[in-house]
Amino acid sequence: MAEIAEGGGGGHGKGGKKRAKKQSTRVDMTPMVDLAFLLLTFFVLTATFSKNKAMDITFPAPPEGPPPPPTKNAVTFMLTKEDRVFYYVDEFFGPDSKENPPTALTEINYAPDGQKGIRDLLKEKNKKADILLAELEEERQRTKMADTTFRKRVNSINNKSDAVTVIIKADGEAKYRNVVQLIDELKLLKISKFVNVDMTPAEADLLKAATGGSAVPAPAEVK
Amino acid sequence: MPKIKMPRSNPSLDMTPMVDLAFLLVTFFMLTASFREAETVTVITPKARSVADKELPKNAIIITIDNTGRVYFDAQLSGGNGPRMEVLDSIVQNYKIAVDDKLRNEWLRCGSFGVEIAKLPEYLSKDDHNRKKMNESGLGIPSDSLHNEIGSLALYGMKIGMRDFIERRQEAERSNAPLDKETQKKIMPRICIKADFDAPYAAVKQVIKALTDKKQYHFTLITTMEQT
Repeated sequence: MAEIAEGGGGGHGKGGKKRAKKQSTRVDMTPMVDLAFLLLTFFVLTATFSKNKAMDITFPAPPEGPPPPPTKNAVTFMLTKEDRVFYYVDEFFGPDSKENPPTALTEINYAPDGQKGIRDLLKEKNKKADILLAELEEERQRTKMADTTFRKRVNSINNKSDAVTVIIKADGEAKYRNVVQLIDELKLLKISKFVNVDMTPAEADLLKAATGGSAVPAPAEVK
Repeated sequence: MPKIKMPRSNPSLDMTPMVDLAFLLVTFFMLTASFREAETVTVITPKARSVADKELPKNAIIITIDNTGRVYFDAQLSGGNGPRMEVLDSIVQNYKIAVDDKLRNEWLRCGSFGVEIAKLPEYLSKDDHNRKKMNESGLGIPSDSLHNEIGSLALYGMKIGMRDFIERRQEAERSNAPLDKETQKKIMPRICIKADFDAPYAAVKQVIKALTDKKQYHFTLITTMEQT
């Protein structure tokens, strides 16, 4: 009756012994492998390993009266269009000031490695505190200091009068990335005294002259 | 001369280890893949190097600013749908807008929105594609001092997030397992500013002003880690 047809008709009758034919146990795996690699390629190409990170920042509450401008050991950065950045040190003197020469802006770049940039400037300005901070960092490595203690001590170093204060002034054409880049640099150097304020008209004029006459002061409000 | 017989080698080779490896990798990538949800707004965050170990907060008010300076709002609070709905309730109460049950469900899955609050019901009634269009044709959520909508929104979110945080802390204290400082920090509500790297700083500054006007001073700037 139902019999599996045996191949060929080879054995001529020899004995009636019927043997189930040994079937190959091999399966063609090619389609499966194709599929596996297809999926593999898909997931490898769509996987994104980059994760967003958080940068904590605190802005000061608006002071009650007009704040006295910090003039000792201050560096003021002026950010403007085309990723350009200028700075001046300490107090600002307008063109008509009598006792002091008027402030001049110096152009600097956002620390591309190997060049003299913002980082070198701030390290230079913050020399004393920088040494203390380096020592503190070393101590932390050695003694496994708690994070909170570490931060407190960083702040106490920063609050000393000889530590640098950074003032960030961005005009209306600066991009967000410029500010983040600058703050990032400050965080790397553990400088925690920085403020973000508006330009005075005199400063805006100076910046205008430095960039070639087209800088606009930040508008008070968009819309 | 007799011919030298080359031994015939079998042309099929054993692929099993390769297949094993392939499937192992497939499994790994499938399990680790987390698909990004369709976003109503896409921004490229700026790069930063100083924040290598800082994870994003879990209890977050997310203010997105795109490359033209439009402002968007989203509440991703750790309590999930409950607190998110409460944020909508606060908006409805304060801004007197009408939102029915269907739109309330839409609110839970709409992600960031970037329209004036008065237009929120209309926005919720549309599908994803048209929402995106509506976002892109408008000016974003107002942040000027006259219509400080983004500040109010952030304030509602922070209030609800803070209440949740306090509840969780008290609950942990009651069960004699007070949360340590690190955990507390992780579940503290935070205002996250997720601005495009090309966004005009004036727009970001105005949002920060809108928030400081509402007495919110702590922010988290969302950045991408720079590959070095």
